[in-house]
Amino acid sequence: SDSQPRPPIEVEADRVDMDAKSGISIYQGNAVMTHGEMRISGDRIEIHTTEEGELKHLIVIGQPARYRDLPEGEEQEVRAKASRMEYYVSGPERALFFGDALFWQGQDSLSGDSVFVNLETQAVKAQGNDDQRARAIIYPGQREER
Amino acid sequence: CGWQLRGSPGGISLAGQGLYVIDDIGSSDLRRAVRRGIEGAGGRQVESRNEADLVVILHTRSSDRETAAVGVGGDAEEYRLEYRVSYSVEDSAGDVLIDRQAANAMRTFAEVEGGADQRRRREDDIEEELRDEVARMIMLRLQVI
Amino acid sequence: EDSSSNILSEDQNENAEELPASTSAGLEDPRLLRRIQLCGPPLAAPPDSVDRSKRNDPQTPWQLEADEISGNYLLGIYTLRGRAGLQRLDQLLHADNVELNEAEGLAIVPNQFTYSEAGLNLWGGAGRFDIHADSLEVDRTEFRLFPYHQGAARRLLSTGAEMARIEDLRYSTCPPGEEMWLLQAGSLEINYETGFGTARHARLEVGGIPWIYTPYLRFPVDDQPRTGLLPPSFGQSESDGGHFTLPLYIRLAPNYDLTLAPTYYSRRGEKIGGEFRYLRPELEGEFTAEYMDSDDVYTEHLSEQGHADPDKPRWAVDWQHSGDLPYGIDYGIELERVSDEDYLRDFSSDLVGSSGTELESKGYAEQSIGNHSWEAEIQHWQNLRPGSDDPYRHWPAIWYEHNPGLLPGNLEYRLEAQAIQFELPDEAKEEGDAQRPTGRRYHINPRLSWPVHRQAFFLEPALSLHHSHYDTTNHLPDDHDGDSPFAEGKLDRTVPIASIDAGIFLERPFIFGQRPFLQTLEPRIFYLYAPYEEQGQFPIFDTGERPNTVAQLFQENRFSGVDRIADANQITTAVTTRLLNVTEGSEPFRASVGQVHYLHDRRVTLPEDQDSEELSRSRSDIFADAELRLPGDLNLRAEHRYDPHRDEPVATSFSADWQYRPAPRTLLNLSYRIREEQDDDDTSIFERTQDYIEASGTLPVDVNWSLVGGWQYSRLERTNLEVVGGVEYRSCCWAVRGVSRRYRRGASGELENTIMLEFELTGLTRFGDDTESFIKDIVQDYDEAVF
Repeated sequence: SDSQPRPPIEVEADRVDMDAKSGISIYQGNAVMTHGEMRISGDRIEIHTTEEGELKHLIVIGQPARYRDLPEGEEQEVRAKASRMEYYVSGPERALFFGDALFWQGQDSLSGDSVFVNLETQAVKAQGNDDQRARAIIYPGQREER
Repeated sequence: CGWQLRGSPGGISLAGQGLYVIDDIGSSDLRRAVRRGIEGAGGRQVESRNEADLVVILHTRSSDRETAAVGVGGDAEEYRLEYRVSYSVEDSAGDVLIDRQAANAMRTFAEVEGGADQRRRREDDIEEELRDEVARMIMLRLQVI
Repeated sequence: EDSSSNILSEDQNENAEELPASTSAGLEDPRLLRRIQLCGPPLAAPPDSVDRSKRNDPQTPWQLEADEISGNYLLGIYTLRGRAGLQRLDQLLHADNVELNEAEGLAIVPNQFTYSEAGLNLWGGAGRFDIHADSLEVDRTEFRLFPYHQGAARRLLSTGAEMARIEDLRYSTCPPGEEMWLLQAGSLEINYETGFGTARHARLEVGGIPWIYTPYLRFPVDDQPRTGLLPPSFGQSESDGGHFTLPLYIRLAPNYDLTLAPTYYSRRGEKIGGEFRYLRPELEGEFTAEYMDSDDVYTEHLSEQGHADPDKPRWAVDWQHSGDLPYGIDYGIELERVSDEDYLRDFSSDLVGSSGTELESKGYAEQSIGNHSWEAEIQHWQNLRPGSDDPYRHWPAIWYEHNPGLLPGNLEYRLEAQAIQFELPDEAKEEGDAQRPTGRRYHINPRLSWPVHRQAFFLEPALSLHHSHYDTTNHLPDDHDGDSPFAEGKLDRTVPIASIDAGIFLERPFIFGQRPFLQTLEPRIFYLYAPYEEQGQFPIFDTGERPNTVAQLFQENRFSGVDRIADANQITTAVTTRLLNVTEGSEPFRASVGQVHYLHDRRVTLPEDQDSEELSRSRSDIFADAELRLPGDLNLRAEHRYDPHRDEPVATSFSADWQYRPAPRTLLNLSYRIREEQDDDDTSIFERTQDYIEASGTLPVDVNWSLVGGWQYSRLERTNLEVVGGVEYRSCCWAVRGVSRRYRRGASGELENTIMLEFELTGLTRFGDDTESFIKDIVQDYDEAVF
């Protein structure tokens, strides 16, 4: 996937509970994580790290939880929001959004009960349920500008 | 007894507005009748659209003769001549004030002694009257926008 | 950013009945309203209810919906699974699954789907939609097109607004399930631009019975009453007996087509007709011809008259061609000729066609550059009334006009010139007629005037010059003792004319029925001076009296035409009053009266009025004309010419036309015309020369049945000129019409009956006589009263 090393991860919040043994730290209250161009925010961010302290994955809860990133070679930011979000650094690098999920770039948008985004292949999947169907709004005419 | 010169208050008029005429028909006689009508209605003919308050577009003209009545001998006895001009009116910005419609005048005339040659001249004479009538109709419509 | 409006309705398997009948603007066409009355709501939304060009507009989004949407948003590839829906503007697609490639604008629907857009509803087994090109390809489909085209097909390809191609088709315009007629075809191509559908290997089933197989079938798709497939036509009349025509349509190329129509007449024999139409960017035309080797009825008619060679072929030719040449020159050819003078009476279906006394054929060209314009024509006539004189031919004629319009100083100048070679057919010249010379006439007329037009008055002094040059030869019959009244050889005449035209405009507002009106009073005076130029012996080619209206008193020349330029020293006075409806800008009433006051006797006359004592009168007849246009389509017009010296009328004409449309499908036209004139030879006799009533109309009996009628009666001759009665039964997709016509045919005036029958498969074709266009000639504005 991306060749250069990723920039450092910074996280801030009102309160932090670090548990070095299990490698889980929980940031509560206006939690915001920035990781290069990626920015994640929510009421609670739970970060899971490997033994070496590398970020493995994180879980975000919020009203709503928000995600923003600028994929390589793209001029327009990709953004998302949902009640709950999971981000996995590898295997593949992906972001999963649950609960009134909405994922959009420019005017194009994808929504549903859950939206999965493979950040390496840009593959997406939205799934609906009975009261909220999977839905997409796309503007083919603007494809050239993007 | 109430008579006043046309153009005094209470009457209808173009009130000095500038009119630009677009002629897609190409009939100089019709253009002359319209120009006289504009001046007679208290308007001014202007040479460009942006100076104009009203833009009169003469779209099409048709003048059709058909047999109106056939005599006992089976020959045409009466002809009907219908002169029709379709026109529309816009303001200088191009918004339509009167959408495209037709002003038409019709007259029936009896078969002319002398046959086809004299009948053609008779048609020309009547068409001239119908043309002035149609020009007057258009002018009247313009003055009540 | 949240845009989760509920785009697609939950219920996927809608069908046409539930689609709301669109009541958009496109439905004012009476023909369509009538069909809605008979067939119920249209089977699809009107195609023009949406702006198709907006579909590819970058601002127009595609809205997708499904149980699951997966794909790659960078590459724009999506898969929709489970109750999938795609919407773009008016295009709505429902399917179980849809594969969508946004970049290439392709939507693949592997199985069951329904699709609808403005003008079309579709159910399919599988389909491929090219959204950018606005085209679709569907298998095992059922389709419904606006307003009432429906059917099923193995395969349908449609390229947006231009073309649709349907294979293994079942098609009808009857309501689904109640197909009274059905068209099966190997393939059908609908071209929306030409408005025609063309089917191959078509089998037509009517009432369940196979009727016709035709390898080729062409019909109008947009319900325009066009002759698509030229139907086999049949009918019955006393003179022709039964007749049957079976047309064959041959499409040579997209813009050339040929139609051959052999006709069999039970009493006359066989006739072959053909129509060749061609359309190219720079020219277009239509050549129609009919040929009959021998006409038994006519042969018998001629042999009764002791004709030497009665068994002659009969033919007719009608060629209309127009085109444009470089430098903005438009040209045209109009050729109309028949084999004999009775042809039109025998073969034209309506009075108007058969009442022509001559047929004109001409070739013309015209061009206008800036203020200059010219027109040239070569023109001749076929005289259909052997007894009467042949009209002059223009062999050729050239007109030129220079019209710079307003010059500086509010001066107006224009010049008209013409050069005409007046010719006659050789037989007429050999026979000789002292009154009808042939030869060339040149005429030029420059005019200079100072028009001042204001609201309160107008003033227009004008100077005009008429110069004519003739070069003619006379043709005297051998037994003619004296010589011709007209001089021969070169003749010249120059007449300057001076005139002043002036008038003032008075008006007074008043209220009538709570609405503001204006009454005008427009006195007008016209002084005309023209010296006398000797021209008594100049030939008369096309000059005659002017019409009896007040406006004609304000012309420079007392005669209509330039063979006589009248001497004048006279003052015309007239007054016109008008009633103007200020709110609508209309003129319900106008009346004028006028008279000429001669300051000098007249000397220029037409040959027949040489010694008329009117020439020395000091005042002309009094002319009056009036017109009343009342709401409710009642128009009255009267013209009156009165001789004050003898205190008696000279000419009167009165006409009243009324159109009454109280309810849908109900129309009544009434017109009444009287004309009274002094007898030409003996002016003491003032007789009624025309007294004529005409009534026509249509009346609905119930939703399906309607009556139509026409009646022309001459009160002068106390005889019916034409009586027409017709009845129509119209259902949603078919109609039957019968019209009977009783009319006076030709000089002999014996009454003739014809019956016309027509069977119509609405939207596809017609069998029988074209009663619709016949009824349109009889009943004015008939097609506006269809609903």
